[in-house]
Amino acid sequence: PQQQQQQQQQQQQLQQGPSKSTVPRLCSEVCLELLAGEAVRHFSEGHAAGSPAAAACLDSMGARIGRQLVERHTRDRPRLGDTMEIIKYICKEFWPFLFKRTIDNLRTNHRGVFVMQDNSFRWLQRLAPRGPPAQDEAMQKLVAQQLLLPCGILRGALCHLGVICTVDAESSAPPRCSFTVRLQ
Amino acid sequence: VVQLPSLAIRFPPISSACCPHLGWCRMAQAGPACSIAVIGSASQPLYLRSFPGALTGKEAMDSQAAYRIHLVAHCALDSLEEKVLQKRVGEPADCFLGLLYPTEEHKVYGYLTNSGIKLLAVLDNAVVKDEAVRVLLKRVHAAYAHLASNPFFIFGAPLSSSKFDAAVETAVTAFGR
Repeated sequence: PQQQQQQQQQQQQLQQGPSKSTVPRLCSEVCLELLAGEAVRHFSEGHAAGSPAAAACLDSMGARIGRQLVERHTRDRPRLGDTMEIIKYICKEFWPFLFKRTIDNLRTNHRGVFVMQDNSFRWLQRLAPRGPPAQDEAMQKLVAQQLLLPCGILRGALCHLGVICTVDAESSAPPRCSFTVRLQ
Repeated sequence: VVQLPSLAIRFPPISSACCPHLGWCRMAQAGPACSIAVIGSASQPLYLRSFPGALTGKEAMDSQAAYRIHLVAHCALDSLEEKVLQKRVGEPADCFLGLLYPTEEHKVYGYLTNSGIKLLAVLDNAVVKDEAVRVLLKRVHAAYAHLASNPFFIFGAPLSSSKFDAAVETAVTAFGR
């Protein structure tokens, strides 16, 4: 029985891949939100705020994150087929994996443009508007910067799955926002 | 050393920088001789490692054999792509593609991940169960996914990680049993 137990443990280790312990380590979500906000602040202060260089940094950081997350998440899934299946996978499985809710609305013009709408985007929920959001310019700029990282994550994930595209985001009334995916 | 010019089309010239593990692993293991290859999404070789089996032993340890395995893996890429196109119709696609093609000396099994990474297992002609190879390739995939989560990992570069090597060795030993 001891040998059996050892073998079972070995089997478990082999299935999960190399790791130090079998219990996953958890982290509080507010840490992630603070980190995202700080990343935006760091890159916009290093370069002139709103300059393309700051946006490029955040985008490439997000792309890398997206690739690595997708690599892990699709590990046990059956192979995805064409572009439509990949987009559906992003909306129904990858989004809950990242943000704990599915995409509320997906529209396409069948010519390579997809619009994904999230009515309550998790990373925008903590931003407090000073006045009506449409008129507050500073707020709009901040929201646009905060959305650069998720755009990058989405683009990295899609490109890693084989869908070469560009992703833009816009949010007229935070926390509602929509991500536009344009296939290349 | 025999020059194989056709390999240059898809694979760059074999050098220790490109494939640091091109060679025979010194540990013999019970069961069939086994080579594991990891090919990137642009068909570039990322990792190639051979494990001699109990039957082959020391006589087979020469660099020629390593190049032969490399060639077999290269040819298997074509049949892997064919098999992927075949499987489009019908049932949900699985990552494990099964036996790609048998030659006189080797059997090649393929595995295609969602991110375009291809895993190949080149076995000699001992009797093996498909299920065992599927489990072996799944474990190699798990090790690769773990390696890809490293912040310093460069996508598309040859894999050089001792933890990955150890994980592949463990998987192959478990397969041999």
